[in-house]
Order: sequence, then C-alpha cells, then structure tokens
Amino acid sequence: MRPERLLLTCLLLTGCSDTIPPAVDLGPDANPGVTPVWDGGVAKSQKGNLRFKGPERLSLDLAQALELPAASVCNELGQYPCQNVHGVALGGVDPYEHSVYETASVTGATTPIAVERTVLSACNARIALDVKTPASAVVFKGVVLTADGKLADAASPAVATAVTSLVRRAWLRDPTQDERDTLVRLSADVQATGVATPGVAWMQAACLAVFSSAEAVFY
Amino acid sequence: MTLKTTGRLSRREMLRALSLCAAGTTLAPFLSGCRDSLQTPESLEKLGQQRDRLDGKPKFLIVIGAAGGASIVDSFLAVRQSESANAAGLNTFPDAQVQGVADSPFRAVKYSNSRLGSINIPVNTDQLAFVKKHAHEMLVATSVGTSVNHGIAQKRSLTGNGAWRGRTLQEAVALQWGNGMPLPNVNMGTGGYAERGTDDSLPLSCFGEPVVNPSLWPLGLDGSRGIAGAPSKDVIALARSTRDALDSKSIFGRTFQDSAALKRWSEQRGVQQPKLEALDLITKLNVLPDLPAIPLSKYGLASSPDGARLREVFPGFFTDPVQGQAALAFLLLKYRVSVSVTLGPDFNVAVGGPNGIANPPLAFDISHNDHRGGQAFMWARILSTVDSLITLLKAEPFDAQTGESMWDRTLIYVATEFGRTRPRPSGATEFGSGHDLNNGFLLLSPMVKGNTVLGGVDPNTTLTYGFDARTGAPQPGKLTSNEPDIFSGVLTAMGADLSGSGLPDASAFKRA
Repeated sequence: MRPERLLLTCLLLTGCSDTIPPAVDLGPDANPGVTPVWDGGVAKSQKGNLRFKGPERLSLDLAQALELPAASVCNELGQYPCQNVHGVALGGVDPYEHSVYETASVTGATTPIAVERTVLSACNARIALDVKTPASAVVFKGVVLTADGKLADAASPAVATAVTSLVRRAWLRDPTQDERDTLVRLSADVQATGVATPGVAWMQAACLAVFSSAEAVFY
Repeated sequence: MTLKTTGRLSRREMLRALSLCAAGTTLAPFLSGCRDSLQTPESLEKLGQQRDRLDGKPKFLIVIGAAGGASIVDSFLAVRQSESANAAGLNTFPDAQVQGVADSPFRAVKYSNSRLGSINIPVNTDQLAFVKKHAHEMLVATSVGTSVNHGIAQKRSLTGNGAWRGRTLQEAVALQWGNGMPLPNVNMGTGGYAERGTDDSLPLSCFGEPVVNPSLWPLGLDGSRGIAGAPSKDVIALARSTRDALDSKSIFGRTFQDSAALKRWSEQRGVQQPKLEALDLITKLNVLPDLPAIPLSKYGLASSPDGARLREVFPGFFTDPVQGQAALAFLLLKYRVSVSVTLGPDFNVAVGGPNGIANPPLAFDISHNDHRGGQAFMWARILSTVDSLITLLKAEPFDAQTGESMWDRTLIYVATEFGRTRPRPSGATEFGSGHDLNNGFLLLSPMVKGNTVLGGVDPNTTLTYGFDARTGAPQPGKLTSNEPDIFSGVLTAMGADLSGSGLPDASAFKRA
C-alpha cells in the first residue's frame, strides 16, 4: 500500500468521534493497577513548553472526571459560577463584560488559589454523592466508613482501587506503587489531626492533592 | 618597546605600566569630582541622578483610566466664547458655563441638558465644587501628541510611549515601593490600561494582577475558606504537602522540572499563596454584606471591618464596576496588599445611579454621539470617584508617629487616553466629536505642585500646546509629543528613584 493511503486509512480508522470518552471507572473488584516503577531514565524536556488548562478546560475536565454536571463543579456562595468569578485569574478571557480579550501569558499570583477552590468544590460534590449513596458511588466505591467516620480499613483493596481511580481520572494513567502508597498513607496523617470525620476528610485531601497537582492542571 | 619585537614586556616596561595604572587609580576620583562639579542640575536630571531620599515606606499610585477620550478642554481648561476669535465654529462654551476659581488657573464646567445624546436621561453636572475643594492638590499637564487609537493611547499614557524600557507607571511604582507586598500591582482597568509593559527585566511581582469583578474577587484569596464542607486547614495543609511531594517525584514533574511555567507555579503555590492566605484577605477585602441573598456567614465568611463604611460611600459597588473597583482599591492600599491600583470605566453600559444609567455605552467615547453631554456625564463620574477616594484616604492614618495620612503618600493619575476634535457646527450646543491628539492629564496628590497647569490651550484653536517639563514654562509653539515628560512627572512627583532611567527632567511636576 502506498504510504499516503496507509496514512489516510489509519486516520479514518482512528477517526474523530463526537462523543466524549467516558471517564475510567474501576469497580472495587477490578485490579487496582499501578504503573511500573520509574527507572530514573526520564529525559528532561528541553523546551518545557507547558500550558495551563484555563477555566473552561479545568471545569470541564473536573466535570467529566468526577462525573458531575458542569454547572455543579464550583459555585461561590452557592450561586456564582467559579468559572466566571475566577475566570480571568484562571487565565481565561472576559470579552463581553470586562473587555479582557486575550489570555494571560503566565499564571498569576491568585491562580493556584482559584484552582484549589475549583478542585475542592468539585471533590466535595463528588464525595458527598459517593458517601450519601454508596450503591451508586463513582470514585470511592466500597470504601467503608465506621460509625465514628473513620476509614474502616485503609489497607483494603477498595481504598487502593479508589486511589487508582482518582489518579486515572486526573492523570489518565495508573499511579506508581509509591504514589498509591503515599495517598493511602495520607489517611493516617489526616486521622492524626483529630478531625471529626477523618474518612471523608481523607477523601477530600486525596482528591485535592491529585486534581490540583501540576500534572492535572498543565498540559 | 620590547613588545614590538618579542611580544613580551621587559621588566622596566612592566614597572612603568604598573606605576601608570597606580597613578590613574589615585587621580580618578579627583578627575571624576572635577567632571561632576561641571554638571548642572539639568544635566544630572537628564542622567536620572537626582532623586528624593527614600524613607523605606511605601507610596501609592492610583491610576484611573478615563476610557474613551476624556477631554481636558471640556473640564479644567475649558474655553469661553468671549475668549476665542473662532468661537462659533469651535468647541467653546457660553461664558456662564465656564466658571473660574479664585487664585487658581483651573476652570469648571457647568452643564445641563434633558438627555444624554440619544439616551433619555437628564445630565446636570457642575465641576466647581470639586475644583474648589481640590485645586491646591491638582496639576494638569497638557499633551500634544499620542495616538487616536483607544488601546494604543491607553497603553502609551501608562508607558510614556516606552519612555523607560516599556515599563508602565504601575510597574515602576511596584518595583520602587512594592517589595514584600503580596500583590504590589493590581489592575482593574480595561483594554490598554490593563496591559502589562514590555520591560521583561522586571520581577514577575511587578506586573499587574488582573481583577475583573472587584466584589467577588476577594473570594479567590483563600484556597478553602468559604467552600461548603471544606476540611480543616490542617487537612488542607496535608493535602498540599502530599501534592507537592507527588509533583516533585512524578514522571511529569521530573520531565518538566526546568519548565519556566512549572517553576513559576511552584513559587506562586508555595510562597505567594500562603502569604495571601495568612493575611486573611478573603475577609479584609470583602465589601459584600452578609445578607440572605449573599449568605456569607452560611459559608463561614464575614464582611470586611471596613465593609459598611465603603458600602455607604460606594452604594453601587455591586452593579457599578467603578464603585466596586474604588472600594477594593482603597482596601488594597489600606491593608498594604498593593502600592499601585488601576481602575476606571469600561465601554459597557452599567446600570445604576439616580437615573438608571451609571455608565453610558462607550464611556467617554459616547462623545461621538453627544460631545458635551458625554464629557460632562463622564467627568462627573470620574471626579465623584476621585473625591470619594481622597476623602477615604485622608481619613486613614499612615504613620501615627509622623501624623501622615494615606493620602499624604498617594498620587492619583487620571489617564485621559486622547482628546476630542475641536470643530462644531456653527453655534451648535449638541454635536458629536472625533478623536484628536491634543489633550492633557490630571494629577492629584499632596506630592504634586498643586494649583498648576503645565502647558495651556490656545483659545483661537482650542488646541493644547507644550511646556518645559523642568521649569514649567509654557511653550505655545511646541507641538511635539511630550509623553515621556508626563511619565517622568508622575514618578518625579512621587520621588521615585529614576537612576539610569534616562527619563527627562520633570521637576515642574513636583511640589517644592
């Protein structure tokens, strides 16, 4: 086959789809996979040309990854969409109301705060749903909490699977063993703070850590 | 010389050379002193070598971007019909509408009409009270050449057309006095007023932090407070440290460890964010009241201790962008968050005010439709904001020991973009105008040479002319661009260190 025809065929076979691919969903019984251990051989990027996601992509990625309606990802005071309130801080434009026509070339001093608020709100929304209706939980499936709000068993496969699910949804890859262990160990640290509901607080902390990471907000 | 034949110095030649060097080193300061003694104050100024003694305390700059072309010849330098040989065909006012102020070069326009162009709202304005109250701290400097493109003129009014390597006035002030402040330069302006300068040698912190919604923006100054169901700060701290550890070890983090974007991000996340959160700015800068419709307490938040006072001064803070910006500007300066704040109307309609329109479409540029009504309405809007800010700053102590108020260390610069065309249909009182190069800028501060007009207006053309920025002498024939003079004048009045700037001497702007 001629090379150009082969290329065309490949393009057609992998052709564009108008459906958004569903987020990765691992059940509690699925294998909580991990990425093979990093061997230290990563080459540093010479150009380092990273781009910040911006308000729309950040919100839509969170909505898709955490399976939330886009409108419920983050609302300040329960009524002002974060995508609008923090849109320019997140590197967006606001041409109609405030004559901001161009995106910022660099992140601003308040950008990380706006990211955290958006991520934390989305995580809270997901966790509230998962905890309230465990049967239809999406991320924290099968993660059992005790009567006093602690994780029943931090070493359970369900917890490991939840961590893998979080990472896959945010980073589109499996966690390394070390990453997964770090996020699981976080539960003990959270519990040591004496917080009233350590199980839910761990879910929030793990979700915030993963979805506000540089890997989740730059591309 | 041995060098010529062998390429080496002989011992004698070496000793001779060393003794010459020693003599030169010894004599150099004397020779340099002789040279310095020959330099005049003017030449030293040209080299940027004269400056105030810096006292280590901040000074503050408020830039008001008067978007759309605010005409200085329709306010403080208005021309009476009786003064002009071409009164009927030029924008001169009936004598009674141009009021003089005793012992002052300034004038004040009184205007009244039942509509604003095609908008059916009355316009009744009088600039006299403002001028009488503030003349002693007002300086108007005329300009004779900028751009008639909105965006370009806006930016040039802040950079002096690239007078100091392209940095803006706000960036220069942030560099001079903003060290250690969490957000030295906050910019709520529009278009070219909001653009950053082109001097990439400045630290990142000098560039403006953009703010588009002043009433809600403070909610974005803490990563977790005010979010329903957010965990405790201890848990947030654990999440952050875990995240940072994951980032540093991940393949992504290692691959892009030299990325400028990632390094900046780490600095912003690890240094600036904690600094902002520690100041409790989500409370201090929050003008919003706690109401059922805005349930702050339900979300664990509270209004600023200054909130009630500011809502009284700026009752339209939530719907009128300029009022909201002015309230936030005051708080940013009061709580030493910033040393430079930029605000001003944009080109959109804002509802509010006694007649339902707080900001007409196109701001000052509504002058295309109704020159006099538009200028009068918009100048009243700007002057009202300026007056409120000055009142607030005067009431705010800066230093109990010296007795200084915040106002004593603040300069307000009204950047007017460009002027308006002068002709009008013979004798018309309602007409439109276009963009024109001639205009002027308004500075207000205890630090400027008050009650002063630098330059002037030719009554027979109603066009502005230039001035000598060092002596202040008017130069009626001067029509060359003087944007660097204005730029230098603002910084000179504030007492900024202009060493190495190459800026022109603008001593005429500074209070003696």
